[in-house]
Amino acid sequence: MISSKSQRRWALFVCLAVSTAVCLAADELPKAEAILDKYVSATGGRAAYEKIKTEITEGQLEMFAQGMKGKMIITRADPNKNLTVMEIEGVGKIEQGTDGTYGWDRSALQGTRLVEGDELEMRLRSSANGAVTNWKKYYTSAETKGSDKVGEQECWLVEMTPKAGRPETRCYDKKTGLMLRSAMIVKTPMGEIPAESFFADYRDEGGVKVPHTLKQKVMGQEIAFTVLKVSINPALPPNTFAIPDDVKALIDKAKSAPAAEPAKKQ
Amino acid sequence: MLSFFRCGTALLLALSLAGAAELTPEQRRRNVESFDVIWNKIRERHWDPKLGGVDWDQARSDLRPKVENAKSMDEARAAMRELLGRLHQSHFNVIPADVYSEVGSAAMGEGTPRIDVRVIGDQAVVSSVEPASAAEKEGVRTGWIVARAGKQDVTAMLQRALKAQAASSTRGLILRRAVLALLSGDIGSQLEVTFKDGDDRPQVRKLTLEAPRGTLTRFGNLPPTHIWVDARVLDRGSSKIGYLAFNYFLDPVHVMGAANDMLASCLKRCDAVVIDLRGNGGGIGGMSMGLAGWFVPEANQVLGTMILRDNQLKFAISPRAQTFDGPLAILVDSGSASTSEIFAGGLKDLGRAHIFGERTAAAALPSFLEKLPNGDGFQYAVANYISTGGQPLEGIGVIPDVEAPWNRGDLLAGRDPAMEAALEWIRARKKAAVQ
Repeated sequence: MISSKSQRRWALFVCLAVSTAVCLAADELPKAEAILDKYVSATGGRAAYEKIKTEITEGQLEMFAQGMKGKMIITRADPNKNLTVMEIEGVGKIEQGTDGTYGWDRSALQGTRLVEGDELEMRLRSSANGAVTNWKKYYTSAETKGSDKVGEQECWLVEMTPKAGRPETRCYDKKTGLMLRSAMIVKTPMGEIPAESFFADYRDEGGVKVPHTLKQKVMGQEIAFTVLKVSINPALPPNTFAIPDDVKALIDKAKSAPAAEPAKKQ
Repeated sequence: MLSFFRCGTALLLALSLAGAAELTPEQRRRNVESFDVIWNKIRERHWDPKLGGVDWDQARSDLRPKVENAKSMDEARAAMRELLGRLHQSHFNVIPADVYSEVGSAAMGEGTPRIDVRVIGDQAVVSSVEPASAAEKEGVRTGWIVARAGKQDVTAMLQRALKAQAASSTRGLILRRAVLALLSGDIGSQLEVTFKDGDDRPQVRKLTLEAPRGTLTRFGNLPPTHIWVDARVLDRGSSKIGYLAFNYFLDPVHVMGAANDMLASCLKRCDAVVIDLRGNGGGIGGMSMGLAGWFVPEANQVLGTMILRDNQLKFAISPRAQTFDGPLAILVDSGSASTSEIFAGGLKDLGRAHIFGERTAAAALPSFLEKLPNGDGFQYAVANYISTGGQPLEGIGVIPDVEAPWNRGDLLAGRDPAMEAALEWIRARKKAAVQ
């Protein structure tokens, strides 16, 4: 299921770009809190969100311009555990996980690395149950910045400033209250990467409306995600979010040698 | 980042094909549309908004009419390539639609005599003969010159092409691929090849073309290609040396799987590691970061930086929990391109690797490959790349610490100058460590 917390989780995978807002005078704008409340109501209400303790979302991803496609499974559990597994043709398996304390990425392509700092905070935040219904726990402020359009739909621009990391900008449909777009700067070891996500095709899953299509634009490239199946409150094996051995080894290395020896000069 | 594949094939097609069928109005329309896609994409996506001073509007005015009036696909492609050529940069290319093929039908034209060549001077010289290949059974030897392949005069082709490519830093890469394309054909077919042996006597062999070495792999819009990896521990007397060679930074599950197994086994028992990137045409940039993580223990190290129009991306190394800290030698030559150069250049700049062989292809621009409306492939670079030492790789390449170029004499004698130089360096390092 892609709940709004999951939307940010999808967005985490790549990112969002800051849109150009058409600013209105502050006194003409609805309060951000009201916009966020409307979103919770529009997607099913607080009680419906709180019933969801675990979820598995299965879908496919495609990069049309590059001719690449693959499968994606997102497994999430309260309070903030997440394991996202992508299988991409020609690339193999890519895992992004967190057990609620540590975060990691694993792939044949780039090996294994710990996710740290602002990047870890973003992963934990996007994996947290209640980040939608209890956003003040994760964000220091939410401010309406103006209005904009996504396609033909007018939407309110809301800037969310997290307790750690750069602000995110979201655009909520003025009529339906649904989130249409979000933009953020994702901080990674490769640098700060702007990314923009577009959400559509909201459908009811376990009492909560979730988008079933997502398009993300990252550095001029577009990735399309389509949700194929959502399982609400499935029983998960106890080791679903267990830290893999190679990640444990990196954690031990980081603990034992905070300042590693420099590479030997040849 | 994607390597540019088959530019040799493309070059060959551009040089040799003529008299293709006349275009239909629909084909002509699609070619013009394709030209516009190329022109717009570069205007919008090139990392340098000024395109290095090239008058892009003028280029459009000059060349679009040539596409509109082209009488064949080759003429249309030639005009599109001329447009790209005005940038004077690698990784901009138009790849004919027929180069694409489905995995299941990739056997057509994929056959090879299983020899590799290097262009030395104006001659194509056999640099390796695969064990148990038809070529080996026919007695083909390293150091022999490939004079003719079928009806094609290889030497004459090279002499013409060398003139055309005289100013190109990538000519070694392009010409090698052109020769290999001349040596290819349908699997199972026979190709008569005229060699010149060590005494320059003609040696004519009928070689049965075989499936290429490795596993046929598909990565996005790139043409399917065979990927092989050779990862093992060499026993050199009292020394054990990890050896890794592969032909492209692709198929990470297969290539990195083999590399990881070998390197993990090497952690405690190897005196040194040699990574042989000669002839490696590059591929997925991310693999360079993953592989480098075996040799760089500390965090926050980068191989280099990709400069895009609106952003910069660091090629950040992901250190493994356990890293190999012994001597690392990397072998390169003019066939080492793109991600190979990023890997070798970055580790050289970090002071982590010693480089042996020849200057690399100097073709390291990160690029994408998309299909055009006319069905052709369009490869375009989206970024410049600066190695961590501060130098761009494009047009410069990686300069070895120890120059050990291919030469015919060594090849005829069965010697490998770059490998021998690397082993000598490893011996000296070991001796110094003992003392």
